[in-house]
Amino acid sequence: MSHRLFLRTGSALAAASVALLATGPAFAADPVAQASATALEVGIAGHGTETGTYTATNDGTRETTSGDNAPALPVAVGQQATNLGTLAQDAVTTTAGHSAACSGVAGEGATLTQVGDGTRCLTGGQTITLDAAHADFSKLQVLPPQITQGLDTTLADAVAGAVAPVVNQLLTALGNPGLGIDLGAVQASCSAGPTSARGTANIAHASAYLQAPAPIGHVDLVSLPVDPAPNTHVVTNLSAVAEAVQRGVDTQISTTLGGQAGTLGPLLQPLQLGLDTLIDEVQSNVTDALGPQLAPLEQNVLDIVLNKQSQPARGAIDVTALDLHLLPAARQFVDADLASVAIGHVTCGPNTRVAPAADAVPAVDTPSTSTSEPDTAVPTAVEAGAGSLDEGPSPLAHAALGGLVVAGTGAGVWGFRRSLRS
Amino acid sequence: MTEPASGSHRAGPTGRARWRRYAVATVTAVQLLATVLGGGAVIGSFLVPGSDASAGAPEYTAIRPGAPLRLAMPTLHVTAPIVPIAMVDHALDPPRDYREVGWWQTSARPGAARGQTVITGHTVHTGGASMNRLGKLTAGDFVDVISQRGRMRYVVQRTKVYSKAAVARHAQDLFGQDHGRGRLVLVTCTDWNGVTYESNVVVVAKPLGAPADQR
Repeated sequence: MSHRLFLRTGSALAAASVALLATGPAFAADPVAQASATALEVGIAGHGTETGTYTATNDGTRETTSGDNAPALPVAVGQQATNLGTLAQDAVTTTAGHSAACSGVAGEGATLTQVGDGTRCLTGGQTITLDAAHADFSKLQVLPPQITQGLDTTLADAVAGAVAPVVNQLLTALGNPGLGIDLGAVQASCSAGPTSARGTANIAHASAYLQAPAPIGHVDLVSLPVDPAPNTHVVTNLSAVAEAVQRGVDTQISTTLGGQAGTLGPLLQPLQLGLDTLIDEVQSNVTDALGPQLAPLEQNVLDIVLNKQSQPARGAIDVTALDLHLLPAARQFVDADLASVAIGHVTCGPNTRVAPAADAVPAVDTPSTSTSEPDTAVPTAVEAGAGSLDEGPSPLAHAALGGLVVAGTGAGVWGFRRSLRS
Repeated sequence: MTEPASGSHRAGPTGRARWRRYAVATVTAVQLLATVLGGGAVIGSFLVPGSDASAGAPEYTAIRPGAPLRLAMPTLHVTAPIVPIAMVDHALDPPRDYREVGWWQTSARPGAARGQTVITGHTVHTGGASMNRLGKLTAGDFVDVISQRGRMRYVVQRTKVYSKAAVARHAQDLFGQDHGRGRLVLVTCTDWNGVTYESNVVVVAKPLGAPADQR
């Protein structure tokens, strides 16, 4: 090979390599598709813990991922969740500018399904039970003068001696009942194309409750809607708990004084007072005494947003299936280890279309699309084929491209050096 | 050497052999009786009119629309879980798990009287996907979609290959929800050119209802 021919060949290969680099979207700065998924984020006693975020980005030729798409349950969360068996977080992208993500949690026995354009990544499973907080009833008490307010002095000692011990014993027994949250599978998913994005969340059998000793027992606080509409806001308080405590105390007073009918009868007779009237009066006194102490329970305790959605950019969407905060007002009465919970957080897009895809089909009547546009159009393409079970260019293609670039560049450099020597 | 023994049998069976013959004859008679009675019952069920479900005519009942859970194509010996999918950028992309198929969740639910149920699944060139042999379905084949409400049976009316451009041109007809009377549309890819698939194969099936004996 002559010197000139060698120089030309090297230069041509170098130019071809540069052209490949310039036209190859693999080297573009911005991703053409991106998505991320986080199964669980929890704020506990002032610090946060989470399952980590799994992200997928696509540069137009291949997908790059980071994070873990088979997350483990954080230890700190495990202490709060008595049945949080299955976590899912996954994200995928395509070279054509599409991305999808799905994440969530479910109880024992749930089945993981792969993320795609489907709306669920978890099916079935037992109910998740989150031990969200504990109510603190340790400071509740009723003093004898409060119980006998307005009663004749002849009755006061007898009533106070009988009622005060049992009422305060009941309040003490309440202790620190747990504020629990039961959830079915909770998950969010999203998908995005070059111009639009959409997301959804699925929640099943969600409720919050307080579990106290008898006679209070199980108190339902709120039932959350199944498969809620975007940005469904639920705020709940513990007024049902306050009412349950009052009912329990009333029952105890009625039972106690009813059992003292023999002793109280002679005292009531001169006053022309019936036993039922006495019971009503004592119950009213105790309610007046407990009311201010239970008042914080009437304030909002849980602030929950279901299917929380936002559009951070055109063609992008951010979805959280369940976003729960224990409000500061509750701190007066609630020993809150678990301050916040976010379950099923996904993001999709913004994506771009780098070049007309070979498999793209022109739409007949392509309507304009926006992030929040309802899905009324019909598909104009069905991308239901694959060359093999692997996605993206084959390893051989990557190797060939890399070899060409190296060979071309090397030849160019060698030829240039030869030309300098000549 | 065997002749004397054989001759002795012909001369007259022993007591044990005679009992054996009686037993065989009895069993055979019972079998014949059962066959005659059973056959008569079957034949009678066709000949004698009555309210029995096994009266011969196909029995299908309507079911309430329900989200589809599983696709069964008995002719192809294929069953596949169904997961809901969304349209992204005017394209349907089936589940990444090639053993599953995707129901376009905007389309009609099986059992619906209006619209059409659109289900798509992958064809994989190297094999193994649920819809690899979809194009083998022919008119008259049954396809079942099991939903939360029961088993909905369809009968294939036509199987047709569309180019990608043709799918776009006929998109409203194939996937539109303002017509179809609850028919089933199955779609996958075909015409592998060594790099990509050039066409879609589309199967259109008419709803029959829920088989009365398999609800």
